[in-house]
Amino acid sequence: MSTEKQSLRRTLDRLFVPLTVGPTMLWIAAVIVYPTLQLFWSSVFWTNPINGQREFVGLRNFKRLVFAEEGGAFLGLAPDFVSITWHTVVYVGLSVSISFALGLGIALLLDKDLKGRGWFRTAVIVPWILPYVMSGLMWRWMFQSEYGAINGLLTQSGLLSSKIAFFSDGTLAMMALIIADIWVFTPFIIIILLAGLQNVPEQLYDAAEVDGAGRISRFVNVTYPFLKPSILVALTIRIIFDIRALDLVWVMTQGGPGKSTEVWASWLYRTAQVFNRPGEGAALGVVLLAVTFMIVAVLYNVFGESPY
Amino acid sequence: MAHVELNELVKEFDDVTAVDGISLDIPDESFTVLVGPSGCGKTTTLRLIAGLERATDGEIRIGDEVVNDQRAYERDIAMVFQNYALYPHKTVRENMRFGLEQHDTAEDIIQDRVSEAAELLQIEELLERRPAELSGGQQQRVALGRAIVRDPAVFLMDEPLSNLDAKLRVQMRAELNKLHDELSTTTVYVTHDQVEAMTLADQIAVMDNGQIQQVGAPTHVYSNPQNMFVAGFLGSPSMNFLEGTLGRDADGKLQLDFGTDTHDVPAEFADELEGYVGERVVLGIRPENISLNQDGIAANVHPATVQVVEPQGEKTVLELDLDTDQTIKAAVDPDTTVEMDDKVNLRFDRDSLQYFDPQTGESLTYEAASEQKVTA
Amino acid sequence: MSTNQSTLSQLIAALGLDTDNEWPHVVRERLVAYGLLGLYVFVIWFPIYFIFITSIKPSGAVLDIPISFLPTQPTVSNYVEIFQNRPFELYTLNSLIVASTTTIICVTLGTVTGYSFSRYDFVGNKALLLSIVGARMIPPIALIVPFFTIMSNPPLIGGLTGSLYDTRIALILTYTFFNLPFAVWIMKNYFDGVPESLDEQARIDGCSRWEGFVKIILPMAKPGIAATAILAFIFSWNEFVFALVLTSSEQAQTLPIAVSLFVADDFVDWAHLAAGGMIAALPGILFGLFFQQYIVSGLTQGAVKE
Repeated sequence: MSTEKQSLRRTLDRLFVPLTVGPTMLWIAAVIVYPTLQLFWSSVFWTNPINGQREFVGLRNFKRLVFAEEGGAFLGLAPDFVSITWHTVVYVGLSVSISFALGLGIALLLDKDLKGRGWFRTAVIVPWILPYVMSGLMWRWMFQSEYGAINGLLTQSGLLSSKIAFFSDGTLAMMALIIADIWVFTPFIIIILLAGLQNVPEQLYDAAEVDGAGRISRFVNVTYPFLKPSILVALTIRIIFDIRALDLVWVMTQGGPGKSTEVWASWLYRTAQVFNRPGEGAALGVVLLAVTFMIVAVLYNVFGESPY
Repeated sequence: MAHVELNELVKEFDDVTAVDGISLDIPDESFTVLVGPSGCGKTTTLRLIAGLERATDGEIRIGDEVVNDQRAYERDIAMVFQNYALYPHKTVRENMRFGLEQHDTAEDIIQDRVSEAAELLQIEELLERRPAELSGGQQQRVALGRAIVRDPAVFLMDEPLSNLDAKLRVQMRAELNKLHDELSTTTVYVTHDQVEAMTLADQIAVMDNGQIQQVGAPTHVYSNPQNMFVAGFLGSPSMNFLEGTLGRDADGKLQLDFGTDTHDVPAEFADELEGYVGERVVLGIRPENISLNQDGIAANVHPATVQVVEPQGEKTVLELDLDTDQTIKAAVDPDTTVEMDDKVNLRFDRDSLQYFDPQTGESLTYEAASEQKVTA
Repeated sequence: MSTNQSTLSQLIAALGLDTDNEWPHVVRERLVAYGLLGLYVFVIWFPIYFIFITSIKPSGAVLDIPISFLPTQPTVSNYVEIFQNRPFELYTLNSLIVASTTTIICVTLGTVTGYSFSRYDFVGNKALLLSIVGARMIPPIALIVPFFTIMSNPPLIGGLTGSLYDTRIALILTYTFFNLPFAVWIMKNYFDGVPESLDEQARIDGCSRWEGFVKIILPMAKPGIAATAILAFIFSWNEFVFALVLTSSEQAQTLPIAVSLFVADDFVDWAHLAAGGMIAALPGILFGLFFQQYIVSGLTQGAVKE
């Protein structure tokens, strides 16, 4: 090989890492840094919806959203803030815990050396791959007050005499949302936990059998220590996703009836886009960001140790 | 303490028969080793005794009681695993206590047993540590300790030393021997390492293909294999097998014909081999029973050419080509001076000759050989 | 040495329910497991089945009472009509273009970058890796305001392109932003599993780093690439929120938005919505049924190995 070619090659070689990593990192930096800075920047401005003028207002957006204008309400917090936070807590809390319990149960069932595990995974993965929006619409149809499948099953089988208008009642609507969310996400949890279950050493189950450990004892002493990392991943991803997910809520209830199913995500969207108050929307975004990081930190603390 | 009895034990998985009708007597206080190549069924047999698998057919008795329908924790057994199988988040002490707690043992008994076992195994300083902080050898001791505190009728050990490095393995073997002397608990031990089997066992059971090929004391089975599998499995380097046609020499004495070389069959085996005149017969001779003919005697020597010389410290292993085109290995004194391509004469030790039927693999001289040993 | 030849007993044995050969309690547990799992599969597929038969019922029949759970008069009229009444082919085209382009960019950059992260320990390796993980934690919805602002007034290149609002490019850029960290992460983990001795062998044989990567390592990475591609495609195809924020017309709107438009008024056109939804769901269902193992491996590689 000629010397020019050689030195060209060497230069290209030396450029390998910068060229392969550089563009991507620039791109990612653009995502994290620029929009996040934009977010913080926007949150301290107020845009007049009429004439579009912006003025710097410091932390006024945050104060307006979180604290009550006049006295009263809950510890001096704005009623909207309280109720929407409560809805989010209920929604995320119930949805994640029920889908997690269900997913764990099913993963453990599947672990019993059954045939057809692959078939099962195939059969069950679909809810998670469907467009979230479409799942929302599908369940809205299922819960439809006149022609939906749920009402059909309940009345036509004789269990109920009259149909239920799910979306006219705040509690029932929340329940419908939660059920839809559980339906969509349990497969994801099953898959993650199943993979984690492969890490549990077989011989430890044998030792537990010889020792005489019962089913619960086996789970606590053998399965759980090795499952912790997967549990951490599953819970973290689920909680983070649910806090921020707009698709389901927007399409099924739009936060209604009234405001009884309004959660943080829909509130943010409505404030920013519908009401055209980008400053406040950004402020909500900042709070959401902070809350997300805090939750992840807590989860890592609880589940983050290795099995030993 | 109890004896264990297996009667016509069978275990099938889907379409594979892992254990194919095994009958074995394991006397009380003995150290019985199941040895064989991977897939021979030895681990499955152990798991059947433990109760981790359910027998398809046959009977398992522990101390005269038929235990087939008893689950593992109902049987009076304790087990030591190849991967130690220690509970990762429990301390050593908690690991050792767990089985006793599950069996509702009284607290003072638990504490006594744990301290005794810890002392026996010299792991007292480790009691509050977690398994991840321990070395392989230490983890193995804890696994042993967990079994000892149960004070069971039978110890079951599944290749417990396989994950240790060579030096540690030798050390642990000696410790297991001492332990067995001290505790005298009936032990069933599984390994694929024949050296381990030979050094530890009171009784050795060689297995292949789900069946027991031979049972007996290690030295007996070594010197008196019942078939070619056992003969070839035990011993390293393994026994040489030379195949030839059985005929008669000029004097009418039996002679094995290898084509370009012949081997005179000693008179004591004449009766057993009579019926095989004209058939193919296999001669078996261990490398350590082959010597270089140095005293010039011409009778019954076999010429060979040296191919490979492997000095191994305590012995030198030679690989040689017999004039018959068969390869043979000999283990000789380390100070023997031979080189590649040297032509030598080999002498086979008469007392160590074995003869086999090449089609069935059965030994033709089994009874005769052991009788020889007894009278000699 | 099998004693029973009948297929039933072979089936029972294969399922692990043979009471002679297994512990009774294990058999009981397995029976319960099969039952519950079967129930779960039914619960999963019933809604999908329901919306499918809704899509093939003539649009009037959908509102019949009592509700029938069997397709009464199967017809494709709904599917035909949505293409007639709305520019559904445009929506589909948009989804295809956006998803494919995003996938290509993510796979290309993700593979190459993931490889470097896997093999080379350069300055800031750990920090950059952490930032990738961190990027996944930012709730996208928190960023709809900044993204809206940026796309309406693109910094630096604004003079050239004008506003990117309501363009496919805006979506492609956005989706790539969000998918790239994940793609890099998956491919890095994947390359970690390819032994470095292969790289070394290639160099010994005379390849430059680039040649070695393209000729030797890349062909081995096909499963990882497949997983990344499928996940990137599905994510882009299914995305709703940013499509909602950044687009407003069929010029750039994707299928998820199109489907949600059926709900615009008080009266919801369920039959047509079902048809539209089935179309939107098609890639997902196909990928799920046929490429399940890639999706699973992509997920678990990217998630569990943290």
